[in-house]
Amino acid sequence: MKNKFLVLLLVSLFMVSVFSAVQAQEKVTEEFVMGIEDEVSNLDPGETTISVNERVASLIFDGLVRYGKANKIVPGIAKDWTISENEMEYTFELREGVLFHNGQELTAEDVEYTYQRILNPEYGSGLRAKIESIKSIEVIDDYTIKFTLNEPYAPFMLGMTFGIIPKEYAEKIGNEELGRNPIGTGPFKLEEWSPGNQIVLSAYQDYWDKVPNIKKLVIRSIPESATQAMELRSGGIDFGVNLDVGQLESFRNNPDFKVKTAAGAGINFLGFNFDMAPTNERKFREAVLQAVPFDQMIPQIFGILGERAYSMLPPTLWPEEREYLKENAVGFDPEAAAQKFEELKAAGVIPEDYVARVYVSNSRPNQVKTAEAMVTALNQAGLRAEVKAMEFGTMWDMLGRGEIGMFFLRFVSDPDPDYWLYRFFKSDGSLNRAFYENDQVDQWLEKARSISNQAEREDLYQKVLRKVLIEDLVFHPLAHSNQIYVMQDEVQELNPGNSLIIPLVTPTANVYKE
Amino acid sequence: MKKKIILFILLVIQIYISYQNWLVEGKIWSSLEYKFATAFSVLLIVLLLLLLFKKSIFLKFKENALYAKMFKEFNKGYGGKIAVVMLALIFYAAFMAPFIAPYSPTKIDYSNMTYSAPSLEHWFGTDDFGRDMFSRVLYGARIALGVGFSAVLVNASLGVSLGLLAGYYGGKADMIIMRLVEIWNSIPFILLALAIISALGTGIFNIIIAVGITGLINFSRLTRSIVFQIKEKEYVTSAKALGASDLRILYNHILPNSISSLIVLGTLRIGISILVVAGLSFLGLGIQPPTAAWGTMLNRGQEYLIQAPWMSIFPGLAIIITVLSFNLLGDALRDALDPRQLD
Repeated sequence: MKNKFLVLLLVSLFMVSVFSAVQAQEKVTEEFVMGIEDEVSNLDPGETTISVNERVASLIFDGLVRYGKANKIVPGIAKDWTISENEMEYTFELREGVLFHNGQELTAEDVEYTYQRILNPEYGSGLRAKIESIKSIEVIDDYTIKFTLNEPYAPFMLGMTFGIIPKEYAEKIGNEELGRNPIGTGPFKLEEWSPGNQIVLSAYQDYWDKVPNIKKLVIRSIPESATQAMELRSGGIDFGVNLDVGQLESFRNNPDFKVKTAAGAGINFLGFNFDMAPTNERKFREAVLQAVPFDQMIPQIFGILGERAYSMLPPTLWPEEREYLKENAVGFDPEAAAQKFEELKAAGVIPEDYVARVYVSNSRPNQVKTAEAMVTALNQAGLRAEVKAMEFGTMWDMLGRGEIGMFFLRFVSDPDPDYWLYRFFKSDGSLNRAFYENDQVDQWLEKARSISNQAEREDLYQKVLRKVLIEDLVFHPLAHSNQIYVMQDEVQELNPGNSLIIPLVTPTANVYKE
Repeated sequence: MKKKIILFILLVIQIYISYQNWLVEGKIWSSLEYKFATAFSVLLIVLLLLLLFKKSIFLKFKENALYAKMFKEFNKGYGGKIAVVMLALIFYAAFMAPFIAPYSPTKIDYSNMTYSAPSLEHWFGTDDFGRDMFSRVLYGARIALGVGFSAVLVNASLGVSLGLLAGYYGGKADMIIMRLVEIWNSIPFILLALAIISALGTGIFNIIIAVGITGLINFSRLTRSIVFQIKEKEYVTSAKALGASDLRILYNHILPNSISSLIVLGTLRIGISILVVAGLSFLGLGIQPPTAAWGTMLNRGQEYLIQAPWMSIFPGLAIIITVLSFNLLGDALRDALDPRQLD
């Protein structure tokens, strides 16, 4: 009898262990559907200046290094690297046996090709600014590559996250095709892309790191927040990234869903065009900012999606300059604004039939609302104004041509102030859509990227921020947006972190559904 | 007697509203919308006074056999009567919005930007900016009617002109004009409207153009077929024999005789235009916020469909009632103006 019990016990123990092993296997998820907020236009890793493109491309491509916990740089395709004493030479040692989706092995040649392509000014990549400092790239052997810089460039390592493309394939099909049929070494490979509908990716079984639990990943662009919420509720998508405050409330207290937040994903700001009248007039810009009660509006419109911003840099990034910027920001003063508009009209700076148009991307509901409230306030202060909500791509093109006077944008970048400031405020910066030119700011920005002394860099960035945000009012920061992920309750290990990527397969996580 | 009492009550209400706005709040002539409201108010008071004290002016119409018959036909069903009452109310709201709206339609209370349910203070609740929905719906009426009427006016003048030419000259002219109109009509409406709006940009004026120049075929086909009938009539032949020019015949003889059918079609088209404008605004192509337009309000409301349904219900109801009224009116008019009964 006793033996029987023992046997039973042993058998049940055995069964439990077998089943638990099976359970571990069950992390495999056949299909995972994800909703993103905008249409993907191009998956070429050299063209990923638009954040949705980057998010999807980052699943297909891998870089030499990648972001780990708290946005620290951790090894990716490169298993190790050394930096020379003078901070001008970076030597990377690549992993062996990393395969592209077409079965080819990744070698230093491909890495060289990837970076040379982006460096080529004719290609015109928006990422070029991040790695301009490269003087030469030297392939030492198949698995070793050395980058030599013109001068020390502090945020250089962040540029080593670009997706590596296969040289042979890319040369054969050309840049245009690569954006449509990307092949990388990332955890997922492209199966099917029907523009306007969805992108289907599948797990890459020969991935050098851990093979993703998700076997089939469907990415659907759903710009409307309400539609995304509806899809979540009906089970049409497992995970959504673009929910509005109004929608979030109903998910937060619902046990069927998980809502996860992380601070400081990006900056929403109002920008002015310095090449256009009357926005090139400081008095006009100041009057606009005085006319609108941003301090009251922002918390109510953004809710848990964001917090009032006074700096262009996210709260997690140095230098600590927010107090000064907050105290010296232009405050709400409708009477002063109305008076200024009167004076400007009398002086002929604002033409008789002028209508201030505030441009905003219609896939960002909070910005649209802010724009609407802002326009109402401007009309009250005596400036005729209207909202122009349009598709982001169209708006971006118009911005590039300098046809827009006032605009709302959201910007997300890597954790170094250089990335957040250089491209916007440098005279020839690649994102300088304000067409702002100032020699002193140029010098500061140039200097800050070439030195590695933290204190000195902080000092320089402080000066830049004070100059552009307080003195010249180039941009007016509105809100740091929080990252909010809403997912079905069964989704595991999916946590918002770095805002540029969707962390489905990272060093610390491998998302699956229970 | 009962009618007189009702008219008198209406007169008192109108005078009271005018008194409140003109004398107490001083809203008479300072902006375009006040001018409209004031003029409308004066007109209404004069009309009510005439109805009360000098009814004989209107008797002339009643004695006319043609009008009497029309009235009789029109009054046969309930649809027409309900439509007239509803439309009278909607027109009243549209013109008098600045006088009767309890709040400003665009003003935002920045300290309390959130929606609230319908209450005594805000009959239709407030939207997500804390703006009074009742006022916004009232103001929305003027946009809907204004854009609807203008679009139909553009639509009718183009379509009718083409139809007159095609029908009167016949032959090759008819062939070319009608085929062109048919080709134009074969482009899907939304595509065409999208193309026009993306070329011209959003805005009330561009919406009117976009809605006005699509769907010409309804007016031109109808006009053409009527002209075919009329141009064989004796009075046209005699006008021709007397040496009247084509233009004179078209505009003095043929057009007036086809007007009754065109009015019916026009009425129906207004309803459709309002619906189309609301649809375009809902897609974000039409009237831009913060202007209070029904379609735009619906667009905003859909985000809060679950938490704040009143943000969608009231503008939606307004659209339904207006379009329904125009359709009922069109139907009733068709019966009343049926040429077979008038002949």
